[in-house]
Parts: sequence; C-alpha cells; structure tokens
Amino acid sequence: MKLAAFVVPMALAVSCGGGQTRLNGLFSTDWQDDGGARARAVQTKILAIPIPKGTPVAVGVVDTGLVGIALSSGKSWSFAHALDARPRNAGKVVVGTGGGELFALDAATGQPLWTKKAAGALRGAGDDGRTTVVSLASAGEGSIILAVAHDGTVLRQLEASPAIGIPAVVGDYAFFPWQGQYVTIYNIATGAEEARLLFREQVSRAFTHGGKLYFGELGLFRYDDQTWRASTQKASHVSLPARDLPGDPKWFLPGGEVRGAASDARDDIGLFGAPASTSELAVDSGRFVATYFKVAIGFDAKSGSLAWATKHDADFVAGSPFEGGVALCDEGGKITIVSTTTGAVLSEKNLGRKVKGCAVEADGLSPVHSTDSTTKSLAEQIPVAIDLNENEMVAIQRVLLRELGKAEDPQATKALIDLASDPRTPPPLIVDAEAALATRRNGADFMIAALGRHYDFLKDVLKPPPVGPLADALLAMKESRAAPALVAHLFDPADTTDAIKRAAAALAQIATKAELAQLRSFFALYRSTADDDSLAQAVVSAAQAIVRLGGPEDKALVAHGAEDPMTISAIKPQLFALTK
Amino acid sequence: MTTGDLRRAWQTAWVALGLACLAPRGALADDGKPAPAAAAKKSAVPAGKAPVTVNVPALTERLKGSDGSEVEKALGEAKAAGKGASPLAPAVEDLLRRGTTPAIATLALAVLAEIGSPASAASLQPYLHHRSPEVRKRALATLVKTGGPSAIGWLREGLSDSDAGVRGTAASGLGTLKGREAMGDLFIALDHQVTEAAASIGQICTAEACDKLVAKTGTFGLDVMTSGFDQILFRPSAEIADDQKIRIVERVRELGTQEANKYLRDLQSRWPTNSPKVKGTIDQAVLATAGSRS
Repeated sequence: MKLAAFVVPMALAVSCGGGQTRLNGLFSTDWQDDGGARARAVQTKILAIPIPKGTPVAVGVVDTGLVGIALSSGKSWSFAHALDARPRNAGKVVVGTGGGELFALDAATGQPLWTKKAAGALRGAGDDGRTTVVSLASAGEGSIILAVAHDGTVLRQLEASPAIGIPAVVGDYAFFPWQGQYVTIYNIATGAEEARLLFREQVSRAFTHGGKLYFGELGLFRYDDQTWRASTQKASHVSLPARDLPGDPKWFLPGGEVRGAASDARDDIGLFGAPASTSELAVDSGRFVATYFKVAIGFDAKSGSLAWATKHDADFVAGSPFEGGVALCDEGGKITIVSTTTGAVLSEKNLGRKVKGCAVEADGLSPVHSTDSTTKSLAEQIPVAIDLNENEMVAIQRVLLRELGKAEDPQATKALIDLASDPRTPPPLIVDAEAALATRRNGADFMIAALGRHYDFLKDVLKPPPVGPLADALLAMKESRAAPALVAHLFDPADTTDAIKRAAAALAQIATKAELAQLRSFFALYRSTADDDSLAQAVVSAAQAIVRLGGPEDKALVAHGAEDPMTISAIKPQLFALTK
Repeated sequence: MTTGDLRRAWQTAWVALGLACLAPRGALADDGKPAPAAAAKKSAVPAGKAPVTVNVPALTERLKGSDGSEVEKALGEAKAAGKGASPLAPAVEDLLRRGTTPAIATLALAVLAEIGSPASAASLQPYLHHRSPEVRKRALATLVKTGGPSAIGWLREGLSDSDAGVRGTAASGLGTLKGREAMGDLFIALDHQVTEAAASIGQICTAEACDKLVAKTGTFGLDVMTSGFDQILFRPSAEIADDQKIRIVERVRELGTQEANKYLRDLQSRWPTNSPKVKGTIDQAVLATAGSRS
C-alpha cells in the first residue's frame, strides 16, 4: 500500500496555525504486530485521563442548515450553513461540512466555535471537550485528518491515503481507525504514533461513552487494560446476538463512509445499544433497540429474544443510546426518549420542524430507569406495533407476528386469531398467523369463541375465522369443548374445503355424542356429492367419528355408504375399512 | 364416481332443470301472489293440468332403492303428479336425509316444491347450507313453496349467505311468505345491494315502512325502486291507502326523467279502474314527465 502523503497545506487554506506534520510511517501497512507491547506501554497514561461525557443534543438537517436542541435543557438553536454530509455530534461539539467549509458548533448553544476552509466531506469527528479531531474524505479513498482546539487552533493536520474512520480524542491522544482492523494511537502533541492496535474483527470507529473509550463496527471493544491484547482476541468485547430483521440493520454503520446530509434508506433501520458501565463489558440494561421505520423493538442483548415492541407515528431516522434509554429522532423532528427496558416513552423533545436528516448524541443524558408498572404484555404490545393500517410494513410485521407466535400467553392466541380474521391483514401475514395458530397450545377459550363466528353478509362479517388452524390446535389440545363449534363449520359454505377437512379431522377425535346427529347429516349430504378431495376426506373423517361415537346402526350407516353405488368411489375403501 | 365427475354432474343437473326456474322473482311469481306485470303475462298460459295419479307403494319402493336411474325415474313421475304426489313426500324427504347424487337431490327438491307441504321443510334444512350455491337456491325456493314454522327464520339466514344469488332468493322468498318480522333485515339487505329486497318490502310493508322505502328513491336505481313501488301500488286499498300510493306516484314524477316517464306510462296502462283518484295522479304525472331527458 502506498504510504500516506505528506501534509498538504492547501487542504486547509486558512487558519492553519501549526502542527502540519510529516506522517513518518503513520498508517503504514509495513507495520509489524508487536503483540500490543507499545499499546500496553501507553495505556496507563491514557486510562488516567478523565473523559467528560458529551453534550446531549439532537441536530436536524433542514433546508437552511441545522436546527438543534439540547436534550437536557431543551434549548433550541439553529445554524445557517450549506451541508454536504451528515453532521456529527461529538463530545461538546457539532461538526459539519459544506460550501467548502468545515465548522464546529457548541452543541449546547449552536454558537460557532470555529470555521475552516476545507475540501472534503465529513466522515466523522471526536471531541473531548478541549480538542476536536475530524476525518474528512479527500479525493479517492484518502483522508484529511485534523486536530483542532476549541479556540480554532489547528493542532495537527494530516493527509493520509487510507480511509480513516470516525476518530476519537482523549487528551493528547487521538485514535484513528483504519483499514477495518487498525486503530492508530496518535500523539497530537508530538505528532508521533504512540502505538497501534490490531483487531481481528471489523473496526471503523472510535468514540467515547460514559467516560470511556470504545472502538467498533461489527461489535464493540472497550479501551481498558486488556485492549493491548486485541491482536490475540483478548480485548474486552461485546456483540449483539444475531437477529433476522428486515433490512439487516447494523449496530454501527461503517465509519469510513461519508453519509449524505439527508437521511437515506439505511437510516430508517437501526440498532441501538449502549455499553454498560460494568467491569465486564456488556450492553446496558441487557437490552438493545431495533428501529424499522415507525416501529421500535427491544431485544434481550444476550438471547436476542423480544422484550417489547412499540409503534411510533413517524419514521425514526436516527438514535443514540444512553444508560437506561435511547433517544430516537424521527422525520418529523421529534426526539423521543424511550426506556430500553420497557419501551415506555419517558420524555419528548422537538426540533420544531420536519428534518431531512438527523444526528443524536445522548451520552450526557442522566440515566433513566422506567418505573412504569402498567407495561402491557407482549401479546398486547405486538398487535399494536403490527398496526394493520400500515400497508408497507409487512417485513417487520412478519417478524413481530413470529414473536407473537412464541409468546406463552393465551392473549397471544387471541391476537393471532384477530390478525388471521381481519380483512385488512395482508396475505403473507395471514399465512404466518394461521401457521402460528395451528401450533398454539393455549388460549382454547379464545379459539372456541372465534369458531362461534361465521360469515354474515348483513353484519359485514365477510371473512370466516381461521377454522383450519384452530381445528388443528384444538385437536392437539384434545379440546372436546370445541366440538359443537367445529361441527357447525362443517355446514358453513363460506368456509374453504380445506378448513372443513381439518375441522372434520379434529371432530374424528374430539366430537362427542352430542354432535352425532350433525355428523350423520354431513355424511349423508356429501358422501355422494363431495366434488373436492378435501371435502371427500372430510366425509371420511365424519364417518370415523360416527363409527367411534355411534351404535351398530351408525356403523351400518357407514357400511351402507361404503356399498352404495351413489357414494363417490374415492372414499369407498376408507369407509369400508372403518366398518371392519 | 370421482370428485371431478361430481363437479360436472352438478353443472349438468342444473342445466337440465333449467336455471330460469330458480330466478328469485320469476320462480316466486309463478306460485306466490304475482306482481301485476307478471300476472298479465301469466294470463296467457293455459290454466290447469289434468291431475296425475301415482302408484304410491310402488314409487316409494323405487325411491328406497340404490339404483340411481330408477330413483330418478320415480322422482320424475312424482314431479309430474304435482300435489298428487303428496303421499310420496316422506319417501322423498327420507331420500334427501340419506344423501344422494346431485341430479337426484335436485329432482327430489323439485318434487317437494311441487308437493308444497310444510312437513317437508325440516328435510330441506341441511341443503340450505350446502356448499353448492345452486343447491342452496333450489332448497330456498323449495322452502318458499313448503313454508313451515321455521321457513321465515331460515330465509332470514339466507339473507346473510355468501352468495348473491342465494341472498336474492331469500329476499324474494320473504316477500312471498309475507315475512313481516324480517322487515328490518330486508332493509339492511337492500342497503347491502340485495336489490330483490325492494320488491319484498313492497309486498309486506306497513305505511311507515313503505314511506321508508320511498325515501330511498335516488339512492337506488329506478328499476330497483319501482320493483318495490309496483308491489305497493297494486296492493288493495285496505292495506295501502290511496294517499300513500299518490305520494309514491308523485315521488316518481319528481324525478322528471325519461325512465320515470316510461315507468309511469307502463303503470298507467296497467292501472285498474277502481282507483280513479290514483289514476288521475298517474295521468298527470305521465303528462308532466313527457319529454323528460334521461
């Protein structure tokens, strides 16, 4: 790989107060892994530096530039400026590029701290309350890296050929992730590479959170006294459990990319989980949050099981986790603080207008702990989150429906019945709901009640209940109480023949003598008129029930059916076998 | 016989019987109290048939057999006997209860319709819920002929059927059987585009219900509304006062369309001489709507 170039003073045409640095092997791929020796040597110094929490702020991209709101104080601000990339909230500042300028604002007030002429769009920034480090994309895949004091003094200015991801800074030490595996620890004061960390998992960003430094992309590494062992995969690490979610959301997007100023499809889906302040690296509250357009879902950070689900009134386009919660920004400019544990909405802020893009930093928010004791059960939450009025959310609706099917709660059975019976339910969801219903082993009362409903044109009940899956489940539960309702469906012409086949199959085993007369009637009606294989099979099942429940005269009835020339030939052998 | 053969057999059976006889209004007009227009047409048909006698024991025995062609022939003879086949009703009902082929079931229903005994109604009940809409329509049409204590209730259930034809047959049947307790359902059915309900409402409505029907003018097409108006207008004055009939004529006149004029002229041609006051209103309405545009 080509060595990084020398500093190009033209990158910052003005205000370059100093620190233009020769790279001297910085970002060289000729580097040999030293087993973490140099990283270990410097770690004590770095870990001794206090890292302040950032300013909690949400920033929206609007036509005129930026609008912001400090999430703690609620103070709003705006800043008019061209934008060619997504602004970044880092530490105490908001950094942006556009119109050939790089600028930093005080995150709390929106007041400009400094502005520099600069080529290149913003990849990312880090800030420790004193110094801001910035990675800009230059021509090709190269990078311009800056370290700028809050007073606008350029401390260092580097041009490097690799794409440098989102950097961080702690005191005099800057952290530059690059090539997906390295993090260079760079001394801003001396202009020297102090150490290099080699990770065996994709890493493209560095950031501070809760007073600690982290690196990540696929998973998350904490900078602590084990980090020097990264090359041997012994650094503190945590990842989120795999979940099959639509759009394949990532915990962290690649830090080497420039994000457009306006939101794109990747902003509509996301995963948010904060590192916990525990000795062993873990995910805060044991939960992470997934967003998919208007839906937010909480998952257990170890098992990946669904913990809660909620639906919002606008698409989420950005978010930031903090201790106990997540701040989610929607396209309407509303910031909703949600409990990571329960999904309860804890507070709201508003940018005051619709936004084209959004960036949130919630690290500095006070920890929240939901005390909502009225949290609904999953079986109640999921149907609300599915919201059948949304007709373009089938992908996430299917995920939620699968989760509903797993819930060991009779209310979940009811919810599945409602979904399967609702005329608004999209066909793919009906298939899933019916499949889930067939495997339910609770909620029999809801099932029996649902079977009491029939097609009724005058009452606008234009969709029969899911008779087939309910019959399967009730059969598996040996629910004889369902027999009267099931036998009534044998005579409902609005039901499909598949539904009737499954109802009859259930009745073959769970019908009682009380249903005998109707079973005889069904047998008589269709033994010679069934014009469908499913219906024919239903006749056989009815005969099975008749033989099981009835006396000799009933057996004779079936035997007569087996011999009668008018009986359809396909079922005669089965009828004959029943009478043996 | 395979299930595919059966599908074809059903189709054949219905064609053989002539589906026209199942058309709700036509079928009911033959034996129910017909609308005046239908009555005028019927007057051209030769009245009465020579009574046909049947050998009850022999036919009963043949109906119990399992030879399909023999059963069909026996039913054919019974049907030809009309009400004369009444003694055979229990055997035909039993045949339906035992279950049989589509063609034979169809014939059996037709025989019970000819006999028209309320005692047969119970045997029809399973066929009112048969999967074939044609069977359900035939069973309902037969039920209208047999009557019986449950007939009105079953016809009301038919209004909620998933098949439009069945709903129409049920709606027409309720008018024929004077199912006044179903008036509310008939209005709901009409609001659900079961247009056959209009004529039935016209057959059985009280003054208040008739007004409710008239108020729907403009909501439904004139052809639908006049099917109900015709029934009201030709009901005896003891049931419907002339003033109410006049209000109906005036409501049609208010439409002022070519279709309204056409209907009024037709009404004028059919109007009896015993209601001069209504006749005068019709005459004026015809004149007032002459030259109207569609």
